[in-house]
Amino acid sequence: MGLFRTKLKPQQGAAAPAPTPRTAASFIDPATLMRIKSLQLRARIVVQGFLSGLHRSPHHGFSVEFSEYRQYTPGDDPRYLDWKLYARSDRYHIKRFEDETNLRCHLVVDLSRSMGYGSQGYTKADYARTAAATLGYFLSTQRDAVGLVTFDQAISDYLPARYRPGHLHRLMVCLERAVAGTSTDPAAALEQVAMTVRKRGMVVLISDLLVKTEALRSRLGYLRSQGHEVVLLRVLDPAELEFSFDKPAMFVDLESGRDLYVDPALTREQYKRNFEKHAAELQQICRDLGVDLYPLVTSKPMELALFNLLQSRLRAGRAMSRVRPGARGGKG
Amino acid sequence: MGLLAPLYIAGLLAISLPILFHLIRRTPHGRQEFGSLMFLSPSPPRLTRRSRLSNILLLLLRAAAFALLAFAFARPFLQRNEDMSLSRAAGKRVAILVDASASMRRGDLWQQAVRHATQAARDAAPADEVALYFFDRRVRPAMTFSEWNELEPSRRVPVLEGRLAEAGPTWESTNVGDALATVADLLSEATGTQGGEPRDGSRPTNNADKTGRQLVLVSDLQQGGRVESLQGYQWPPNVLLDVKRVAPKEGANAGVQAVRDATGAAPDVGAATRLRVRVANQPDSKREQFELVWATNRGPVAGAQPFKAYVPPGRSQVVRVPYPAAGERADRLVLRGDDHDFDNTLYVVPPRSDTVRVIYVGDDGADDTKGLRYYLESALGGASQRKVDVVARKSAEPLAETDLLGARLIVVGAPLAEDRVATLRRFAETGGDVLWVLKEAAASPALGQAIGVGPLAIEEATGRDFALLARVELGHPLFAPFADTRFSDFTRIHFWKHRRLKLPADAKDVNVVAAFDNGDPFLLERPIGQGRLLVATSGWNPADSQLALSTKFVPLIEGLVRPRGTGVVETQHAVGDAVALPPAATGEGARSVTTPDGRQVQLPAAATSFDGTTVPGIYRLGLKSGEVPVAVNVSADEGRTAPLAIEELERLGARLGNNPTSDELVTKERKLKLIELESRQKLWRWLIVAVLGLLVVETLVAGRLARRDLSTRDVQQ
Repeated sequence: MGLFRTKLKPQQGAAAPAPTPRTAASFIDPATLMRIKSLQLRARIVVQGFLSGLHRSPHHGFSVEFSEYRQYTPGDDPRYLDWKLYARSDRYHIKRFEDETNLRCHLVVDLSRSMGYGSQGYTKADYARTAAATLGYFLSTQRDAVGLVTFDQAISDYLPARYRPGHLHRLMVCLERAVAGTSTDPAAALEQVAMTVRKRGMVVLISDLLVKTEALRSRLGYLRSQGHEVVLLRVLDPAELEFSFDKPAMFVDLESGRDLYVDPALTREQYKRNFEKHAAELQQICRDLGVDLYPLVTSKPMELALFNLLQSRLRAGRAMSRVRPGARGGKG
Repeated sequence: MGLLAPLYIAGLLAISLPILFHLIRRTPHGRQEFGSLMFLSPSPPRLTRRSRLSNILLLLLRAAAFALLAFAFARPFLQRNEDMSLSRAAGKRVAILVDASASMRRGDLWQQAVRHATQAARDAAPADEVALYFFDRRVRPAMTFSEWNELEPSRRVPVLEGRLAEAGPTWESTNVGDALATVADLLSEATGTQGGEPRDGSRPTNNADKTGRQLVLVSDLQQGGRVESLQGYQWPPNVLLDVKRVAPKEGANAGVQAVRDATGAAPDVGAATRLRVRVANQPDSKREQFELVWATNRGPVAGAQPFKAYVPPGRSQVVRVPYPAAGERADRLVLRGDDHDFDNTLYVVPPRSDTVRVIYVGDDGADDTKGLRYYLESALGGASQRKVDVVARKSAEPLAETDLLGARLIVVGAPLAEDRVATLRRFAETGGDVLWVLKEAAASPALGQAIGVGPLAIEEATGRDFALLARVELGHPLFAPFADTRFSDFTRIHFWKHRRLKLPADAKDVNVVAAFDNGDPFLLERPIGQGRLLVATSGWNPADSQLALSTKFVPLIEGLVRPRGTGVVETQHAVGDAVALPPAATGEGARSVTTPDGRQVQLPAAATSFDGTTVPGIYRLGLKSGEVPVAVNVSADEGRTAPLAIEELERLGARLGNNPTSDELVTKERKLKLIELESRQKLWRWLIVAVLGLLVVETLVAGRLARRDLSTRDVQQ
């Protein structure tokens, strides 16, 4: 799979969870998941399944609450004592407040026509919506502010990052919008985010990234220069990776409508070379800019997207705590 | 059924195009939507072993359209036998014109010409008419169209071959232009069948406009053939010229000819000791070194040294060849080193040597440039043709009988005593000529006595600065050399002084041979016995006139010493030229000419020319005054044997080409009938309509099939 290996970094102070056979088997089959019509329900199922799976993990020390325990010392605010832990351990510990991380995350979701392709019975757009909804749901449960930008050749919807009642519902509604447009322009969406979001946060771009790479470089670089944590979730259909067609056909571009007579037997190798060359360029850009790039193959379980995001979330939170002076629960 | 343009059937090969298209064009079995084509490139169509024709119905429709289109272009027609009735093809008229000039004597040219002429006759169709003509400078019919028609068809060609066998090249020059014009006119004049009613008794049809007319020229077509005489001739539009050129296998020609002086007159052989000849070498010659040697009819003169001449190809050179010694009797100069010898012999009239005695009576000395004697002796001394002995006597001296013995002419340049007149008259009566020049008005009464008219009134003419000769009797033997208009202008001679001589009314037999512009006579002639008395009223000394300084003085004096009756005979002629004869002398009867082959031809006394110069050689004119040799040679133009381009004939207006044969005419007529038949039927229109119909059906079927495919895909999706 080359570049598309699951990106797992061992976290400092926390053991990286290795997917156990039991954990992998508990992931929800994407095809089954997509049969659930309600996007919010889908998201909740994924999140709950992910969380329960992680809670059964034998590896301690990893907390999705993003909390950090330390022994109570005189002078700490007794309001932050974890009484549950006292009941269990008869010791006084201070817990880092979950709300102290308070991440602003913008989900930039590609809903162009190219995302309307799918060979698994559901489209990349369905998968991307579900991934975005899942991430949004999860972040909401963590009391993080979530925003949404949907785009095709231009921005379709924009929801600023908020954590308030009803915001998640509005996010789901925006995600439900059908694919449209005659081209894809993630650069415009990223530029909009860069111009409107002043506070540092996380930007998650969910797209197939089937565009020229140079336009992405400048916009991603801009976001990074503003201090945002940028994550790219590249949604791809297995057929786009392997080009597993066997019969010649008139291949029709979903966005432009252009058709081309293609004999897969003759062009498969060339397609893979071109595809991998484009992927390598993307990889290089992300490496250069410190952007995390994670492939999301639509045949793989949704939980992986969540897991990748957690990795990024941890890093972002840690970085922010280092930066903010007098952070509660922080080292100061 | 027939096809007017069968080659268009090759368009059926175009049917392979839709077949190939149906094999190659593998319509994709489906339509596949894809996220992006940015990593894809189009695939070329390919045939596989399992390729099979798709949409057979469409293929058949398209193939049928191609086939019908090819068929339409081939212009089909339905042929019925009665449509192809053809009129009987008329024969054509063929005139075979064979060059029989001297240049055809080279190598085997004549044999080649005979073969060409025979073949042209054999190629004639039974309905054709053939005539045979020979030409050199004139056209001679050898077999006319009427002769051809009168012969049985089986005998025509053999008779023509016989005429060819009897003939041969002549020695005359070529005139291709006149020959072509003459025969072309003969061809174009024919109307219907020559000779009257058709043989089969049918009503004669006027086929003149439809009959082909072919002129076959068999010639070496040399540059000296005088083809330029075609210029200005309107070539008949219905006559086509076919040129059968004959050429020697190898070798080129060089020739020798006598050089004429600038006035065009024959060279005065008496004025030089060497003969001027021109050696001309043709451009296609590969030789440059030649020799000239004197010869007789028995061959080169023994011991004669050949004279070398170097002449590059395409150039000519004048060579001065000394005459042979008097005793050698060589009459021809032969050129050696040439490939073709028909013009290598130059016949030359040898210079004559006779002695003439002239008596001058006068008081001026031999070197007195103011007198008459000085100029008289100068004029008589330059010719090597004859030796002139001038005897001078003072006017007071008596003339002895011995002085007069053998004398031809007495020139009186001073007044004479009357007792001398009798001597002069006796001299004239015996055949001598007396020329009395009046240098001064105070002439003696002797002149009147000499003339026989008694005392004459003579006075010095007065008036303008000079007088001019206005009237000259050019028919007089003395002025005959000046008969040509180029030489008859005497107005350049000024006469400063002359004497006016008034003859009495009863003067008889006195002719004024020449007179001045004021009417005064210059030269009078009085026949006396067998001789004559000539009186000149002006002298040729510089004080009197410019006569001695003019170019006409020497020929005049020469005419005075020439024996009467000989006249001026042109000694150089070309074969075929007429030799002008001098006027008959008094009492001269019939004259004869001896040809080079020894044959003697008698001429009537009134004959003014002899035109029997058919072969080159020395002809001898038998005149009363003696035998006069005349040299006849091959024309210099005939030696210009370099080939002439056939295009030159076309440039001068001849229409080159071959009339079609009868078979070709029948084929042409049949083709025209087929074209007419097809143009009436116009089947190609219906075929085009059928093609259009097929295309409409094909469009409908293709559309229906395409819609069906689309709906199938939609259902599958």
